[in-house]
Amino acid sequence: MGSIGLYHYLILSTLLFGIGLYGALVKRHAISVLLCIELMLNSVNINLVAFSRFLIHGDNVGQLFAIFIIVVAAAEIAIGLAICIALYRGKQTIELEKFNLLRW
Amino acid sequence: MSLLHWVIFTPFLFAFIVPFIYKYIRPIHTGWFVLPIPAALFILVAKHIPQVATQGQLRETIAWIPSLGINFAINLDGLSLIFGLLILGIGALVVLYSIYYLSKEKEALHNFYVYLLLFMGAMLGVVFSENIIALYMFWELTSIASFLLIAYWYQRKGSRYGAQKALLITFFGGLCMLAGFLFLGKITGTYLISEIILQVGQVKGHPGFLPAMVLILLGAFTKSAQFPFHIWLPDAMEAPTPISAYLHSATMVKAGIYIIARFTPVFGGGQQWFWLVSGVGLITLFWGSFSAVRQVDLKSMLAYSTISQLGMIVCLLGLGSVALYYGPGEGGAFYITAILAAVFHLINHSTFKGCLFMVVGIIDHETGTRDIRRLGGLMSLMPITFTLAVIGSFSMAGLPPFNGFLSKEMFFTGILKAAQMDIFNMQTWGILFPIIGWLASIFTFVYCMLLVFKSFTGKYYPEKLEKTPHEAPWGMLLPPLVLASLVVLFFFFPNVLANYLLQPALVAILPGLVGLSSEIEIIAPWHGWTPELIMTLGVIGIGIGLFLTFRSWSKLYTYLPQRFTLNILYDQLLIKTEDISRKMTKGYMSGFIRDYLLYIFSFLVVTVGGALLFLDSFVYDPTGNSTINSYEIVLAIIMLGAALMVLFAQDRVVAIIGLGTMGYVVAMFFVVFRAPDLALTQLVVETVTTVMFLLCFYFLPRLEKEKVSSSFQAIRVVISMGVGVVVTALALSAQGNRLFEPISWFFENSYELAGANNIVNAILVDFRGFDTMLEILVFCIAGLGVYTLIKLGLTRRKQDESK
Amino acid sequence: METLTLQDLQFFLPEVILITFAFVVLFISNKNKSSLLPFHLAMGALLGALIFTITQLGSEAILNFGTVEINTFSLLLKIVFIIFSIITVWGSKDFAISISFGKEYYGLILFATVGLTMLGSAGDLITLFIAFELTSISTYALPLIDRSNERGREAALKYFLNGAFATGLVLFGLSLVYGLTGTVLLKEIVPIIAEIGYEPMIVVALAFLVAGFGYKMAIVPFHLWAPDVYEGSPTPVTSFLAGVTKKGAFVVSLKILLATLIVIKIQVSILLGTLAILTMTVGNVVALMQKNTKRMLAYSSIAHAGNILVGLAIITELSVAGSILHIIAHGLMTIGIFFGILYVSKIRGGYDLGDFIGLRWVAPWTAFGLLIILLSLAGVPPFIGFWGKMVIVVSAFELGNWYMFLALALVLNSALSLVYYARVIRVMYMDNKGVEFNMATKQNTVIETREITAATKEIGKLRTSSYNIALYVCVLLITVTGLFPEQLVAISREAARFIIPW
Repeated sequence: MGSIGLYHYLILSTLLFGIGLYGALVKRHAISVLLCIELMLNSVNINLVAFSRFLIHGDNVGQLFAIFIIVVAAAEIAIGLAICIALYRGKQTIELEKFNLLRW
Repeated sequence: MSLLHWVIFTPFLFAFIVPFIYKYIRPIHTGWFVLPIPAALFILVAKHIPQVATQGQLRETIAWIPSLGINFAINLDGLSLIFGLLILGIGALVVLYSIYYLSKEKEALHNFYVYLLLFMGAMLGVVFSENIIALYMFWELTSIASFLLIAYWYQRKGSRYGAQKALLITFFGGLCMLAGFLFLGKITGTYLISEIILQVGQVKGHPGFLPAMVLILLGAFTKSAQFPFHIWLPDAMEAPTPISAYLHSATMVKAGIYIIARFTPVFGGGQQWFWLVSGVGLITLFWGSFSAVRQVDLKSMLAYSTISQLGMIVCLLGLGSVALYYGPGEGGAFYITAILAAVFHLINHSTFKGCLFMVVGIIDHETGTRDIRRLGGLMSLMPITFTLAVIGSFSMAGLPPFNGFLSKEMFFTGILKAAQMDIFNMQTWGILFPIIGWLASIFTFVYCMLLVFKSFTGKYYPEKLEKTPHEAPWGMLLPPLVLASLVVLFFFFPNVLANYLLQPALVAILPGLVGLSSEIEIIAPWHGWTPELIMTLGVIGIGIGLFLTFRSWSKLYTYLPQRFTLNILYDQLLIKTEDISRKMTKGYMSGFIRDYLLYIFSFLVVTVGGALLFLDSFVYDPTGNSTINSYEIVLAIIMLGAALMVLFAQDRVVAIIGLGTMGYVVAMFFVVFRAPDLALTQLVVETVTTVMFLLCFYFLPRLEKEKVSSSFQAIRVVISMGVGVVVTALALSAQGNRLFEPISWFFENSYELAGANNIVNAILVDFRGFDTMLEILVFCIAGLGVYTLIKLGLTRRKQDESK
Repeated sequence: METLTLQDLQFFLPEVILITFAFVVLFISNKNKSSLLPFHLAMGALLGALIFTITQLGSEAILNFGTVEINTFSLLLKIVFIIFSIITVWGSKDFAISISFGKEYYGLILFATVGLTMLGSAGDLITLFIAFELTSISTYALPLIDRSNERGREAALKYFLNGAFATGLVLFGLSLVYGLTGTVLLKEIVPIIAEIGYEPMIVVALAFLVAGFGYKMAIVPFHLWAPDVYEGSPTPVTSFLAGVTKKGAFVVSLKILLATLIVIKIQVSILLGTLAILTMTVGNVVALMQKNTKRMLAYSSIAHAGNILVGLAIITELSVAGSILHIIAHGLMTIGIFFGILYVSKIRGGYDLGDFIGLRWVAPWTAFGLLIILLSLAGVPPFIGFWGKMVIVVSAFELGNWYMFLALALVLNSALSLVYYARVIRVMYMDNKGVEFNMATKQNTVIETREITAATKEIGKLRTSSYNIALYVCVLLITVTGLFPEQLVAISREAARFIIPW
């Protein structure tokens, strides 16, 4: 079997990031966009830990960073969901297309 | 703080007191309290005349912003002295005039005098500042004060339009000038005018010379209403007449001339400066006087006449700059006279034009109109005003025995000499100077006559006037009377003026060429039968002819194109920019988040793509690779699959499951990476997140329900089962991460695992205590969000129940 | 390894005070909605933090293994952000009473302030990121704080989604920086990157960082959320978002971009410079057509972001000082003007341009305050808005070359911006829809009845409302610092020296 390295992980995380980015761009639902943003943050964590593992041996800063990101992401999701619910209560929808009051 | 600094600050400080005076002392006209300020300051500055005449200049400096090298330095030399005296002297007269002109019952006097004092202080700042940054600051302040004063009679639509136009054009010019100043500052390393002048040689050779010059001239031309920026001045005539007399003829519009004179030693002596300054001046001179003739509003006529006269002064300054080309000696002596004429005419213009504006103000005040088609026969009703009008306009027309005659003769001398110049391509173009100058003088003569005779002689039409005219009160007549007597006095005693004011000003404009003690040509009314005198006689002869036949040839003006005037250009420019703005906004500001997010995508593609294209491709050193492992491949595939599931799921629960799967696989990767702490955290947080999403869905019951197709149901079951298995497996593995330890691909640094295990915890608590604290805060806020969410849910349920 | 001593703990005192009081504010009883207790607590906390920070001025320390740096830069920004928050809280006094989440509002502002104060002193990427996220997450819910406002909900959605999205981008960029250097300490990153030299990955990192921060700073082409959010949010929140938290994004960009991109200075310069010109021009051109003042000011603040970015693009000590100065200036102007607008909307019922007609007679002092801020925004001397631009332009002139075009673009944009600022001034000072106004009778409400809302009767009561107070405080600061900018310029230059890594 061949070898696996940082490079592969970078590709993986970039792919994931791309998927998340794409989703955040095209999704119509606030919730779906939220999910896709979560995907993006996960890919960052893979990056950080992979760097920490392959490049900087014995260094834990990357892992530490990842821990912070995990928690921040969760907090962000919580806030996001709260906002979605408030929106739904106001307008009975969370389709982004319907939120077009403010423009120009 | 020297006395001179106080001269600048006093009007500002007093401006703060004016509203209180107005509020508490209503019976007395506020103007009486303002009047002593310019009068006292005038005496204060006038006391410096002998000192300046003997010493040349006075300097005072106070520290202002030393860290940028900007200090508040003041320079009182011949040039700034003349301007200072004009500002304060005419200021005092205008305040006196305004006391009678503006009713204390009807007008918001406090505003008027606050703006006026602001302007006075700012204008004094412009002419006294030695530091160009401070100068710029005062320069913009004069624009603002002018804006407020033009709009003083806000009820008129024209005044709003005029005020905005004046502000935009002069502010634009001011910014250009600032850029020019900064250029100069960069070239010379100083912001002090005197030090810049000392480094002339350095400036001249620098590539920044031309841009700096053009930018500074733009500032000067916009302020001094030079062609093609003159369009704001006629519209500014909506201001009350005392303001027009003060700002828009005597002082503010001369600030540009001040700048040109001040920077003549820096830029003068070259071809570009000569052509730009005298060329623009000449065009303005002609266009102003030509346009003035067609005006029917007395103030518009005076506005165009001001434009034209300013052009004449600018033209003279341009001609005079040739003196710097020749340097000290015989060659340049003549051109020094051109500068002398410029400064002399500057003073003369302020006197006769101030007088004329006040006269027009009296006519407006007494009859209720300024339209010459409705005026006529006022001579017998207002004899003193008529006399003043005659003195003012005859002086402007260049007739003796008034000061305008002297400077007009000197101007003719200048343009005749220009025709004989043999440098700067003047051999071919020089002849234009006397021709255009002379034509302009004829038109000047014509409108001067129109001004006087259309309104004061001829038939009197009382039915066309709103009021019954009678002679103005003495308070209104006194200021123009003072100016008119100066007009006559300067004609008879020009050399008193020359010795005390003009000569020091020449020293300031042409340092090194003129000494304080050196002789200058004596200004005299009679030089014999010179070509200048013949030109003047020609002007009078043809002018009278044109005036008498005015009715028959004035139709010519109607043939001029109406659609391509500069005013329309200005209006269209504003309309078009707004149009562009509207189109641009509607084009891309759709209000949809999706569109908004798309921009970033393009940016990333362009930047990253560009970077990868222009730089080396993405190469990575694969050292530190470990043997590939089937676990990792499987995990990666699951992860990508889960991500795609999130992306393409039609049902939100499927999407959540996808995200959950993804999160757990990431946690497994962390295990692979020997970061068990991280894996645990990820696991817990992922679970919490999933629960939160599900909780959220509880509150959003109807969402997307109808979209779930039956085919998805089966898939959902399969996927959820799969996720369940994965979660269980992960939970088991994370609980006892030691399970993985004996596995062979951990052989490399197995002991590190234990260490890392502890270190992450240790770092979190010890080294990273502070970050952790912040993180806890983040979590608290998230908790607050969830709490609110639940609270909202509860209130909603209550609402449902109540329904 | 050095550890924290008790002595060092004093540097955390401002944050500790803010956090403690934030919790106290959140957990006090909210039975009485009109209670001023949360307000007093929040003000007390901020003033306390301000006093402690000011006493620390001049000290220098590196704490907590380099993750926290105390120097002039960090202390200056701490003071600035705390003062901004004080003005916002002060101005929001009447607003917070009128909404049901009053104490949460103060709590969130205090939390956000903690994050902001930490931005300046953060010495590594993690601390910087967490501080920044603390600010962002605290503010995500702010547009929603007034539940009766439908536009606020939409604003919250847009603000949150864009913010979260940007966080993802920033993080991806940061992870690459970490991967490239193996460290998160800013001080260590600089020499390592200088040693590594020109690396393709750093360009990728740059793209992500610029995009992510571009979002947060609302620079073109990432600005599109800003007008919607600023318009839709309740005005005190707009004032806080546009005037305070957005400035946090600039501070982070200053630190990270300066530290990480040293090797490709020229390319960064060109990229940021292009973005700056785009930002200024688009912001100003679009603002021209806006009839809604709130939205107009949103675009104006985008244009100002461009001005600040010019300072970043030039990357010299003086230009960075100019950026800092302009950050401070624009913060003051934004807070002030939004509170002024809020006051107008209270007495007139809206913030369209038409609602400003004849403001001079209805509320002369408010109109005067707005006049000064508008002039300052246009960059007219002698107000602080002028000096920020001035220092940036001077720094561009010092370098010469193509930086001159940047300076020129800034100058021309100032001229352009005056067109729409002057329109507001004209409307306030000159228009009164042909209604004759008699100065003698001093009738203040001679405006067409159509424009008078019920609230007009309460003008007398509103005149001393907190909105006006915030406006006056800002106007005072803008004028005083504009007339005597020496102190501010000097301290900005000193601060810039600390973050320029070379």
